Amino acid sequence: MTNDLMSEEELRPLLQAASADVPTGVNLLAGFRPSRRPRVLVPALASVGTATAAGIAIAAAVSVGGAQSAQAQVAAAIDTTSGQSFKVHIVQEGGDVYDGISDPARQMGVSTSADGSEWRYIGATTYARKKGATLPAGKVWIAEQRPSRSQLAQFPAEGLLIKVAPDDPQVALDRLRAKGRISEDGTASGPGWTGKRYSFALGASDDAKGVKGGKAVTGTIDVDSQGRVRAVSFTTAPGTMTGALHEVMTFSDFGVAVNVTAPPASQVLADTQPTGKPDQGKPIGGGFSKKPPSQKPS
Amino acid sequence: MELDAEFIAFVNRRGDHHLRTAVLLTGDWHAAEDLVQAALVKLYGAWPRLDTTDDPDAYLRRILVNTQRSWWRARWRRETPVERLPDPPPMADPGESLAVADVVRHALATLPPRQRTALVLRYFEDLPETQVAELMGCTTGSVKTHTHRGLRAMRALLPDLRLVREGVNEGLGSGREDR
Repeated sequence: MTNDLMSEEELRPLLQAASADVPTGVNLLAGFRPSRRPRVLVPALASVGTATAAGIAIAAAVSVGGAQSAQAQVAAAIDTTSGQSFKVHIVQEGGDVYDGISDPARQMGVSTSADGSEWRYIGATTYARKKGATLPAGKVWIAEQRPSRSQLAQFPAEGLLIKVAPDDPQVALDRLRAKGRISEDGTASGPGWTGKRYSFALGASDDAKGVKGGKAVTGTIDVDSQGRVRAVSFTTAPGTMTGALHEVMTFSDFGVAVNVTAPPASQVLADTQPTGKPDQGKPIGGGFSKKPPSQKPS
Repeated sequence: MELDAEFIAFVNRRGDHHLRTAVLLTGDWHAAEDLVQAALVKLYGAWPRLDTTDDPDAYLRRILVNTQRSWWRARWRRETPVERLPDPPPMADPGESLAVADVVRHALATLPPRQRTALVLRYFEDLPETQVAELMGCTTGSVKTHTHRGLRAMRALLPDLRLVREGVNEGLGSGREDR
């Protein structure tokens, strides 16, 4: 083995050391809850996760109150917003800032972070250029396939809002539409718009069946007078070892032109797709299968 | 939900080991905790179908690897690679095992995920290449490539190995024993 390689003998103790400082107080069984509280009618109907079910949910919400309920108003705003292109500005507690432009209908967008990283998504592919990433010579971007809708449905709600929303805000809003407990919370306004503010809550138990360990999320969603989502502000419940996380997404410039091109192929490192049986044929490999694996692992 | 007593016993007996694997895959303890918790929930769903010939460790390891791969794809945006690694711990400074652990975890986190996974499965879990390949869904040749590149990257990221190794030697034994 040449000198530019770390040897096995060198690496093994490093790995031992890097995992030896197990924190105290970790409860690996914390994801198991004793019982599930009953859900209200609208989220239960919408939890099917299809457009049809969402439509039923909206209709049910409207009929219960006579006038359009908060749930239905937010659902309508999400539908309206999803049909347009927009700019999104995201600020996370701690100073991380992302700016993006997205056209969900055409499945393309681009966003950047303050550190110079950039992500482009076109169709089912995301190209990531991460500042400081170690890539082979000549490679600048990592290409990978984006999670499918069915796979995203298996993500915890806080995961969607925190980790997926910058890439595809609509997905996170879909979860809010489907399962959030929403109520009117006064007025809201911003540069060039006025509207209503709604408060919402998503519980960890609202995650898809079999997905646990998620955190509760509370926040507000602002809808302008034209029925478009203008801002989503949320805070996650603290985890066992993590503090609460706060993030604000603001949407603007609806109808903005979005043109995104793929990076030169010569600069792209394809994230190798797994060829093993468990994940074969899926848009992305492994992970959130709808049910636990049923075959012997090895 | 009343959990199966054997399942609880398994978690109590082997949970720490898988948590340690998870922290090497994820780079930080809270993500590792989330990952293991999610994997355990999936394992519990399959628990009634496991018989005495099944190895729950192998089952859980597969779920961990698959879930981590899926999470990485979703959370890449949340990762914040740095321009350079933090300075290694001072050579003769006692009690620096935590800093060493952080430096090594940080170096691992900088690797492309498949390189990181290959290194962890080969040299922490001590699995043969064939089993690593099966877990990662690739060929043994790919595993060789990932480990080779990973070892080269680790050397580049931690060039002053002597410093790190001395820190490691001080740090070993200060953490929980692997079971």
